[in-house]
Amino acid sequence: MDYALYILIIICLYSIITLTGNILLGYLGILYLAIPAIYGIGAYTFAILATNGSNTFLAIFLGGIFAMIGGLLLSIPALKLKSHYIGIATLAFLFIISSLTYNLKDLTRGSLGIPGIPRPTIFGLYLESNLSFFIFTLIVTIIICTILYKILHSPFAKVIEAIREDEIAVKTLGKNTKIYKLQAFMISTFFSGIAGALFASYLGFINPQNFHIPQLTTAISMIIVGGMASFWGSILGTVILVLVPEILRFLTLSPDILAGVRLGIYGLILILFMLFKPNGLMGKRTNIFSK
Amino acid sequence: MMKDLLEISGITKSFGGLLAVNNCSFSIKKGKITGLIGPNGAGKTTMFNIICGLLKSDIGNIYLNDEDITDLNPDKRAHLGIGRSYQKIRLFPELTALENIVIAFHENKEGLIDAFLPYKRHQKNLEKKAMNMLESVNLQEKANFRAYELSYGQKKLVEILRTKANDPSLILLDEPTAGINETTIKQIKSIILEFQKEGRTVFIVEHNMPFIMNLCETIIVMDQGQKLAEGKPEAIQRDKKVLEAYLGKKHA
Repeated sequence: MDYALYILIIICLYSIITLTGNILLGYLGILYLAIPAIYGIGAYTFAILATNGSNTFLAIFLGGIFAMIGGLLLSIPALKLKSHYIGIATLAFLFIISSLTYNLKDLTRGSLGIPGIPRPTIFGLYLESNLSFFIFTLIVTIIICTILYKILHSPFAKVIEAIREDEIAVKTLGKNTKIYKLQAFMISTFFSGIAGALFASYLGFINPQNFHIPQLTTAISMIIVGGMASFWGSILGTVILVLVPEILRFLTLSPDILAGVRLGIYGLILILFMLFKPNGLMGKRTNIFSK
Repeated sequence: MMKDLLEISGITKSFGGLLAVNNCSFSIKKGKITGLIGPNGAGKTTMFNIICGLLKSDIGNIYLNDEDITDLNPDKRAHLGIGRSYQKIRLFPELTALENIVIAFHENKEGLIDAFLPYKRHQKNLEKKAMNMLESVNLQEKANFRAYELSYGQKKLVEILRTKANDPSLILLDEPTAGINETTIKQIKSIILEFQKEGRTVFIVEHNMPFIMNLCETIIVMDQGQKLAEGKPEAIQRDKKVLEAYLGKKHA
């Protein structure tokens, strides 16, 4: 039971992370490689506030806000650059955040990590059981996905996609593309931060290793498998890439090897998709690597 | 005396050591169809990019309706009524033909907050309007094709319709007939004449001489970044300097 709930909670939270990542990577079409850094900010904000006795709801919300502030800081260089240079800048941002989580020891306890992160409390009810936490996560996920669905199927999203396709043409149609790009950054990073906060709350313990390249590989793989600039693709990719490695559990491998094999499988899936289905299962041609 | 809609005053633009536009001045009369011709590399497309704001000139000023727009960004200029098509088509390939047009309407509810407001009917009406525009060039069946799936001529038509949907008062068309067949050229010609009927001003860069001589009331000739001549098509065709620029001194 707990195992099934674990899978479901991971699918919910990774769906949000994949979707929000896809807004920038797929819809806006920039090489956005700071995904774990952004939800990591949300996770650390929540962990620090909640372990210091803050209201958990406020802490989740502030997780989103701080992630968004991080996203806005990131957008300053990211929006000045083009194509793979954005990839380098956003990857550098991931390393900066990682370095901060290691070195701001007074706040983050460095590599020791933050233990004892509480679950949320709703109306005095502490969501201690995994079932109650799952129900809570599911509700939050449905709310966020509904909001994102509305946004991603609106004329606003069409402008975002048009910017990906040809920013100059969008400008000469009278649109201030900078504002649209900033808004895309804000939505993406805010909700990503909320997913990060819930992650921290669910795991109960976080350390800097939870927010680095392996998690980036996972998120990017989900987006690429599901499909660039596709709402349902993001969720499909998440479900597939959460379930496939779980099958490995039924092989009797030691945990050390398992982690490596899992990452290896992600890498392999990524390479195979790049070769044979670069747009993913439900995605569009976005050409973000060839601009 | 007709009022000038656009005034170009002493524009100079260089790229590194290359002087693309050199102290060029001219004006465009309101409601007229004006042509801009010249040999390759004369600075025509650069001039278009400067007018719509994609490039900033080094020296000189641009006035639209007597308002100095020299320092305005492309999106601001589009709001003031400058619209354009491109020599190399700039549709949004992954958007459908219909979406490519709808996105250009000023009434398009494309704000972030608009996504949560009841604009469904409003957007349906815009789609209908875009559909009617596609019907006018017999492309209604292609409405839901992605732009990259269209033929070259169809793309060209959709791009001009998109420019029209943006409702500009001054329309810059960069080689609207390049690489397309006679039937589509006729369609484009009738769209341009319609633009004029609607009171819009059209400014065309073109190498297709019969097309431009037939359509334009005034023709401006550029060579080596400067205005070489300006006048009625018949006068331009006889102008010695123009023939020299195109054919070389000997032949003229």
